[in-house]
Amino acid sequence: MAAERLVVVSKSICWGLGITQLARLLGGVYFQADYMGPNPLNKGLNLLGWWALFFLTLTLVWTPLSQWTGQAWWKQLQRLTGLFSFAFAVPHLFVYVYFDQEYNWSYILPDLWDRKFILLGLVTFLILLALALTSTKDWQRRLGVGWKKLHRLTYVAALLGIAHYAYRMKVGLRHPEVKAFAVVITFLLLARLWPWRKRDSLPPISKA
Amino acid sequence: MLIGKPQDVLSSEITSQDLYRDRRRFIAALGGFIGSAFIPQSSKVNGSGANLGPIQPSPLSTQETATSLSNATRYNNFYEFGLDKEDPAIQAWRLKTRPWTINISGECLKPQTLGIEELLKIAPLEERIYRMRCVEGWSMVIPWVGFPIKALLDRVQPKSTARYIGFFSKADPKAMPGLDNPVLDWPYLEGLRLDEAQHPLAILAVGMYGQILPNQNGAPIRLVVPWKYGFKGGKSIVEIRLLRDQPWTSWSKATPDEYGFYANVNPNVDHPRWSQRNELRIGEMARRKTLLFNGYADQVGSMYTQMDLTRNF
Repeated sequence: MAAERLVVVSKSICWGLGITQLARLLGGVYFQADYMGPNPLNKGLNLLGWWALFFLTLTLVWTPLSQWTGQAWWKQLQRLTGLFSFAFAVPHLFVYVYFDQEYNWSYILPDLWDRKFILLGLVTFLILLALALTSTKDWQRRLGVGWKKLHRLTYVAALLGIAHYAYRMKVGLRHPEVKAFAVVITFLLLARLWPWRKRDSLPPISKA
Repeated sequence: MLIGKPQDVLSSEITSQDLYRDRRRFIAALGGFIGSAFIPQSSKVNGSGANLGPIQPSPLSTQETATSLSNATRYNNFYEFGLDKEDPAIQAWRLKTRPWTINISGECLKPQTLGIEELLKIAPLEERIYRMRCVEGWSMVIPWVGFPIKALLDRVQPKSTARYIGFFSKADPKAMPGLDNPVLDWPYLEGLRLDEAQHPLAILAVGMYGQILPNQNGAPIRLVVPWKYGFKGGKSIVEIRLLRDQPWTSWSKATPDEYGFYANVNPNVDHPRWSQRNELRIGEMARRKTLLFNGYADQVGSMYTQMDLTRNF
């Protein structure tokens, strides 16, 4: 299959996954009386946060994948999955600010300190916001070389995201899902920092 | 000094009693209708409906509104059945709670093994409506049915050397898929100081909401210590040991700087990773203030007057 076709197919899969998960959640809230369970706030926050972290982790997969397979087109999925991470992070923050803290700054400001994972989450969100805003071709051109550097913050966001997740769980990093995310993100980060990896050693786009 | 003005017209003067009664009936019916929308069709309340015989009310009960049975049976921390709150309601049917025995040993004059039928008759069963505060920052109000631990201790007669008491939970890998998670050292062990265990508020619960305990809530018998965080309440207890020394309870063994042996509810002592100042009562939207000793300070405070609660968290 030609690279363009593969890109279209892969993007469709990512779109499908993101949209079905958002639809599942919204559908559950509106049409399934008991979907949200005894603690709807926590369930909503958990689901939205989980998928934000999932798509953020997925965004880190494409670069190593393109290197190992010699198929540069994988990297064209970065923006889409990154924006999906942001698309889950926005309602995640909204549920916290609006439903949990009732849009009251006198609750939210002390909470940043009281529950430090809230602060970690906020910093993660601000990074995602900056990356989402500068994700257009226009901004890419405007920032030039700096754009690439700025978008390496994706790794920082992923590490802060996993810290935010681990910090609020009673068993912390020993929680199997937290651990799985932490292992995968660490692995992807190491794959990027590998000392003998040649700088910009991307192979040319294969014609096969 | 006049504080507030008396109402000029009492509501009973302008509303006939019939209509007043009717309104209550209407609201009650409406409540049932709305409430039923939130109860799942396949609510897995194991053993619900089974009778416990006569249950006495207790002056130690709170007047607060109880959490719905549906919420109290579908939002559980019972890691032996999985780490998610919904897991116990799905998995706990696997546990067989009959026959069941508790072995009581250690520093006591009459160590013995008691079957669940004997345990149910150790003392008259009482309803105890207690607040329950989880260390994670949420709370419920649960009408337990049980008897004071003291009634059991009187039966086995602790020696003067007994200063602590350990409660071991069931750990059956065939029934409990969560035992595969090495997050805690199984079997689950909780403990109390002997005077805490002898306090009238500390009970062994065998039921809730007037019925036998659902499996996900710790059937057939569990510890309930309402002034401590919920994790102190060991579930599905199979062994009780009277001890000379403070036991290494499961949570304090896993993370000693985060979960202490005492684990008294205290809004002034934060968990290292989050504040304990307030809590979400399940079923409510706004958080409420957490009370010292979960609101039982008058009854239990005197046991801790000599202690630094910041160090003995």
